[in-house]
Amino acid sequence: MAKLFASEMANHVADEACRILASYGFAVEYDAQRYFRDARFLLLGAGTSEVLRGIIAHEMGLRGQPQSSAHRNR
Amino acid sequence: MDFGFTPEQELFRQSVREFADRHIRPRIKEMEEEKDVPHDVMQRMAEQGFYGLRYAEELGGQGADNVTFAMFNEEMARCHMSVAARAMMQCLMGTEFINLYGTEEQKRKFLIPAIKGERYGTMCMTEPAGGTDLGAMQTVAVRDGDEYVITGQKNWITGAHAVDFFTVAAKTDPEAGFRGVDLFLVEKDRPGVEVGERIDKLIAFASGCFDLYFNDVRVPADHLFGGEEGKGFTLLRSILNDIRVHTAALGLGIAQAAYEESVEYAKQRVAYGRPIIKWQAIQHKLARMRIDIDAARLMIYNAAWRIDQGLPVNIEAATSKWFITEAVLRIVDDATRIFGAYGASMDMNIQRYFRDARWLLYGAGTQTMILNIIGAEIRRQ
Repeated sequence: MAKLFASEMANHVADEACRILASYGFAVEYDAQRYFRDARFLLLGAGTSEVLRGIIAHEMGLRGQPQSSAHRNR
Repeated sequence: MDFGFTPEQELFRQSVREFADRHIRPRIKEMEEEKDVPHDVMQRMAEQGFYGLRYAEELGGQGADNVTFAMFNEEMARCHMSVAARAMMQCLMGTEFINLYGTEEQKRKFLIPAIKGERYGTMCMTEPAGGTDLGAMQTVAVRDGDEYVITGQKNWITGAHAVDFFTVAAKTDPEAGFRGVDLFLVEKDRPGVEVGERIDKLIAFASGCFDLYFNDVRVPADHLFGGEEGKGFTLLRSILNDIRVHTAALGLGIAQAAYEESVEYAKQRVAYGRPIIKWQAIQHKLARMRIDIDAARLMIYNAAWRIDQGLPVNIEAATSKWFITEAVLRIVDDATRIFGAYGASMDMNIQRYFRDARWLLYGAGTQTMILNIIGAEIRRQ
């Protein structure tokens, strides 16, 4: 849940930051566009959000196929 | 009530799609790397008569309606946003003020050649001090005998390096806020016009945005659009709905492309023993994309149709633009998630849609300004 929430939060915050900077939010000379791009990395590394939601559901005792090798290792 | 397009409109959409696939798509990689749209690509669109789509037949145009022009923008953006943006500038913002408010001579010298692709135009609004906030504009135009002298700096000017003339917003009354803004026709070869640095940016790599300087540039007094000072805001407002609807159509094109490629990829990509399209988590993303696209398409083409019918469209143009912007950002977000790490690969189209969709956040008004406009219209009704 920590990874899922933090990675989605980082993307949301970076999106809002770019909107506040308006057109400068995509100018390469500003850092905002880099935060926006780099935050996407969190959505892929250490399990996608979809896989993490599957793991959370499984840990909650809800039935369903485990969808990832990460889960099987636990 | 009829939600269908005419056979002519459907045929036109098909012809634009085929044109884009044949002449634009093979050039995308080159354009993204060079960060420009080459002149021969711009000329290809002229040969098809695209630049005259909106203009009267006696000017060499095609007299097409706004529904048809929205189709053009959607199909071009479905292929490549940068080219679509440059084309829309030439078809609409860069030339429309001459069409509506130019003298016969200006139409002959600028508009008719622009329709043929012999001359190119662009619009210069944004400045370092502000874009949305017209009243903050610092470029001034001072009357001197039979001329105006224009001084100031513009930035984020699309295609400034490649065009021949500008529609420039400048203040004739610096004290009057946005009511002091007027619009001028300025040829690029006038002494004192200087194209500055290309702005390195995340979105629409090839659209080409530049700084632009006007150093005491003199133009004849009849280059003031509207015939008298203080009319700039009114003139601008007369095409704002068109700009919003057609910018929305660009967003719809990106959304459609991202959706189509997501469906294809989800069918092919196998994870945990089956194509990922068989997982509900993926199906739901595709379903949400489809809902967004269907809703946006109805809103946008309804707004375009209302312009064609001469019906009030302030709210519909604004709601279309706001909705497609949020929708396309959701769609490209989900599309990159479906593609996983490949969604970040520079070899794939998805990263381009992901970046270019953010054009919608600023083009034709920021989202917050659009909400203000919708709110003000609701209050007025």
